[in-house]
Amino acid sequence: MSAVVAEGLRKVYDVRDADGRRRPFAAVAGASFTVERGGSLGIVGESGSGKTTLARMLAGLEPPSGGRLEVCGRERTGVSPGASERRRRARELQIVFQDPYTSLNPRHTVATCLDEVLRVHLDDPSRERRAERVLELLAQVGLDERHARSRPRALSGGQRQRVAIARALAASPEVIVLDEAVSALDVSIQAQILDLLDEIRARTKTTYLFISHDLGVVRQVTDELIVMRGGEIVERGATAAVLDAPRHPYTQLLRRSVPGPGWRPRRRSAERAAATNERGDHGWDA
Amino acid sequence: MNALALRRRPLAATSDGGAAPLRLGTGAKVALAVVALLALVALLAPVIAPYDPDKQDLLNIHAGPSADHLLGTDQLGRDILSRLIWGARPSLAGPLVVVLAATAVGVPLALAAGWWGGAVDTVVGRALDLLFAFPGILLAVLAVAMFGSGMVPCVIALAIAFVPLIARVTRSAVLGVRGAPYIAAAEVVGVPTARIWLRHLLPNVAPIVIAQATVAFGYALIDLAVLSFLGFGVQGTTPDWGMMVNAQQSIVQGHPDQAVWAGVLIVVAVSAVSYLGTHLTDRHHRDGRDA
Amino acid sequence: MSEPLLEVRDLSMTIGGRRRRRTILRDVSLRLDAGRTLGLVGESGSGKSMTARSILRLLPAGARTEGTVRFDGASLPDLSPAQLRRVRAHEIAMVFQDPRAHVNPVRTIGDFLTEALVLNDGVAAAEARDRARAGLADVGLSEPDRRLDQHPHELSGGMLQRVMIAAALLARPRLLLADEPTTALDVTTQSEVMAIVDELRRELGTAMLFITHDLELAAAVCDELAVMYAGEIVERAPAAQLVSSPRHPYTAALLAARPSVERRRARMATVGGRPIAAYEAGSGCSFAPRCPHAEERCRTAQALRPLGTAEVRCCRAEELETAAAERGEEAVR
Repeated sequence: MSAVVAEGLRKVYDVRDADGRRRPFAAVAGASFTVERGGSLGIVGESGSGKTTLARMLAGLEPPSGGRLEVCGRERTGVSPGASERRRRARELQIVFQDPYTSLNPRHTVATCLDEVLRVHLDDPSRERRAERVLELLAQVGLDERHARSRPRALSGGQRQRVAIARALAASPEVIVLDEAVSALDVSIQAQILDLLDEIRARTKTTYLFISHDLGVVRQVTDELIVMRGGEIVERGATAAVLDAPRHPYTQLLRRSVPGPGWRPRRRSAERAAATNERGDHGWDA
Repeated sequence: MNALALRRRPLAATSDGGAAPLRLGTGAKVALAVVALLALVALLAPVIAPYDPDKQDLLNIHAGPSADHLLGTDQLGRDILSRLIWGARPSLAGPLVVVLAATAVGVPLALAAGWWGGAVDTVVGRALDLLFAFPGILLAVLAVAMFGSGMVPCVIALAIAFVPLIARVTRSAVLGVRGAPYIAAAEVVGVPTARIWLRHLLPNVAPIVIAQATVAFGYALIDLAVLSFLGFGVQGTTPDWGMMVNAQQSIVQGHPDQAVWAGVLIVVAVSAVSYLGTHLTDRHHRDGRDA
Repeated sequence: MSEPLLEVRDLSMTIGGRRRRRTILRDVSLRLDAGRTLGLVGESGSGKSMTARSILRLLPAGARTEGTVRFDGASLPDLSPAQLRRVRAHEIAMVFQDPRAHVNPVRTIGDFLTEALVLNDGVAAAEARDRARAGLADVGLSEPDRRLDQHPHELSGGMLQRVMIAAALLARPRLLLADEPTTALDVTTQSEVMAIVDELRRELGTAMLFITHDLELAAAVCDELAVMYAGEIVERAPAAQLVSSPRHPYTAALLAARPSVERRRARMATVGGRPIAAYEAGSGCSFAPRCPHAEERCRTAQALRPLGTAEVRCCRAEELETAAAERGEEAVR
């Protein structure tokens, strides 16, 4: 069964153009894709591609302007859900954000942060069981009792991102949306978190939707890949196939732009530069 | 994009743990001590006041400072020091009630406006703007005109007038916190909305609300003193600093002592409270930058 | 050997108040010849940005430095404020990570570009505008005439960074300090911007100190690389060599940690822990606590010592290289 099905998902904003006139702007202009249970779908794109808006729609933080979204076989409609429906949705899909410095409440200790989720989601929400589960979750992400008592400011960026992952896992979701979840980390820490994500998926069979601008990172953690540009999907396929033999000119450009052995920075032709700049002007996704 | 900027953040923030204790600068410490002292005087008035503030001694009016009457007596021979001490009660309790009431009304309004946005925000915002355009004193004078003089109509009118002062600042603080990813995460993870308000939203806007309420306290103190001075506030023989400043009869007769002392106390109290409020606001903004 | 354009020797830096002074840089030494490029690579807290900033004396409050910084034979720390201003105006230019933070939002691009020329060099306004227009065309901005009258908010991040580069190169400086100039940009824009920097720099014969966290990007645009960790340089070598056969375990770990677009690896991380800042380091090798090859003697302080064409701050560099060669693979990689 499919974990996530999106059909023609759209998000249109009203923006003001230079003359102050309102006009519609499609941040996501009809995205359709399916992720199988236990799969890992990468969504890559640059700023303004609509990938972050897509992530927010999947997590229910932004109502879609059109299209259909189905998670774990249940339709998600735009109507604001009640408490029990929110709880149910939480067990279906969780999100991990990009910035480990703002994704944790600065006033709560790590234990409080996880405990709050467990209160809502544990079948046996007794104090003892919750305390036990907090430690289990921390162990899963490579942290321990000492970290449980810390507040975010006492933790490094990598440790904070581990806590954010533990918080997502606390609801035992089927799907986790990772929105640029390793982009803000130092490379040596990023490598550790990528390994952690791999382990978690191998053990829990959680489905990943991995949103990133980084082709190397996407290669490491996803099986399938969608390339977005200007709110539209321009290419899709198996991650290895798309990255080894990109077919769409934009994917080819992306692929060519990644530094590596023997790589030289290149100037694009003038008209292509102009086309990209035109979108860049709006600064969406920023 | 902004994530990449974060990578370059210094590690300094990660090296010390726990919530920062309330650290105040020297000036703020002095201001806090002054406020505490005034509050203590108000609370302990029955114990420390040497005389009954209403006890008249008509044979001994406008007496200068002496061992018996440290600050002398007024036009009815009442002990000025005792009247100042007892006067701390209405003079400080009035603004306190004004600020507490304004906060109790303003904060929920601001939470609703900032949280739901859209139409709720527009309606609340317009109402607050309208109210804000009305000077508190004018509203109080209006209330007095309708309901008669006295402390109660003045305090109620000022409390209403102060709602926008609290609500506007709170609303913008709520908007700031509302967009924080940890709020979004709490929503996605299914935490009940009421709990998000209590555990995530309120504690993180509380510092700025407290700072603003402190500033408002200073304004309220002045406004109430002015109302008392004008004769709209505290009535009868009850001592009140604002009313004591308005001891015209004595001043005309060349005995400005009680007016001067009451005036000094008002200035001291307002300065200390305002300094504290400004300091708290500044500190909040500073913390916000490097938190 | 000829006099280098830039020579930094034993640069150390501490910040903070009297009670709690923190070390930021320890004995950083580097040299850069005219027209050449040196990449300074490291993670957060490594001190790479502070090194660049201390060259131009853009120091945080309370910073104290020791050591020598010589530019074209002159000691920069000893210059008077007026002389330092002249060096900043004519000789050394700097480009930062966040262009928007370094440009006045209410002035036009034209004002921004011509201001220095008119004020510092007494160039006539019309000529300054011509040169600014030419500069914008050089960095590949379309319609340079219209851009001159635009404000910063009308330009995307990539376009604005090109304006910053045009501004930096307008005075034809002899040294460009580029501090993560493309980190905030999209990868396609990064490629473009780096190509422009590289091209113009070569034309003008400007040397560049390129600060970045991206080892592979640095290797592509620099002649030489220096890797920093905890406020020290741990390895310096010709760019191609440093990337293909790293001598310091940290360099090897950095290379291994970067996911490849070309293949998926079974495991990514080769070292645990997090990068530390100089003030958190002990007396021995600062990388030892995370190093998979650390042993007893790594607890003593390590000096940066020559090894072939490279310099490395690791007492086990030779053995590790030999061991790797015996296994028939690149060192530690």
